[in-house]
Amino acid sequence: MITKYCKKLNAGWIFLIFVFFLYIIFIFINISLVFKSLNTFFQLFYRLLPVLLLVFVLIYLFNFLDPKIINKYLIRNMGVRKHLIVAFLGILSLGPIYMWYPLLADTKEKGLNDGLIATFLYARAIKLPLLPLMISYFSLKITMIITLLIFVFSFINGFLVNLVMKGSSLIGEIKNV
Amino acid sequence: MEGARNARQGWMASELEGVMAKYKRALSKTKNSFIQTIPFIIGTLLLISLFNNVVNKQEIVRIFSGNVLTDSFIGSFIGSIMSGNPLISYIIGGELLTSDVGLIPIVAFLTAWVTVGVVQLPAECKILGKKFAVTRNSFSFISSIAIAVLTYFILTIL
Repeated sequence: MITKYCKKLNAGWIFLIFVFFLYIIFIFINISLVFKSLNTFFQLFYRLLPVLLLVFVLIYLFNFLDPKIINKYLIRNMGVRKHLIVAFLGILSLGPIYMWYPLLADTKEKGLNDGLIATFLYARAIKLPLLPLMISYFSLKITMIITLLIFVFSFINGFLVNLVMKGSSLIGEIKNV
Repeated sequence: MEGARNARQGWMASELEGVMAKYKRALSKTKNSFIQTIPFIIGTLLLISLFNNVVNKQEIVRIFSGNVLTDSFIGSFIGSIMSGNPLISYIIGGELLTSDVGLIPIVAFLTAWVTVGVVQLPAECKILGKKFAVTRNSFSFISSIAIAVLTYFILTIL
């Protein structure tokens, strides 16, 4: 019965219930600590609220982008420019990473190499809708440096992954010969 | 004349329907994302608030030795094994920064959170191949350390 209810609830709500239980336990241990913590929570929440609203408005705007369109561009052959386009598509892609695995496996069958898939997955670390939140916590300067470095490292990762994967397939071919 | 007008009106109606369907789809996706994320945000903020009042800030800082490589390794390791919406990682990282934890482990933590997926590794292995998944995640782990160290050096230069 409990398992049935747990399945209906998503992990987030289970996590929140767990935290509530933790607070209830602390009521019996040190009630003043609970009030102090709740006070800190409301301070943090009010500080974050405007940024969070902006984040969800940006997520809404980015949700207009159809994953099928991204997939269409991923399999298009554009030479060297493709690396750049794949990285930008990675930045634009939203949603959990595992949602993209089947789509990427599909593009792999249609000719996208391992390096480009790695570039796409790494560039996903740049979350445009979350930039306001990052700036509010870490300043514009730090946000810009981290974002730029992630963008550069998406190509380095793509190159290295491709090198290893190609190398291993070459070793396999030599062994077969 | 009448036929052309009707055809134009029909085309406009179908275009409008298409746009409205896009708006509705985007709204529904955002609503789902909000419903899934909000309990994590509230839960994380409640945990951080409790944590800040229970644990001494100096004890958190003590975990990090001040060594660039060791600190970035610890940050990357924690970020790699944790999973979830990156929004949560920014909140945790931001609050750690206010607790006087250095920027290096925090940058490594944030980068590893979004680039390394230990939790998703079985799924990635199954769908994209074991060798690819292990290679990609290993390079991503090393990259998160490199990004943290580079961020530190760039900031000292600027």
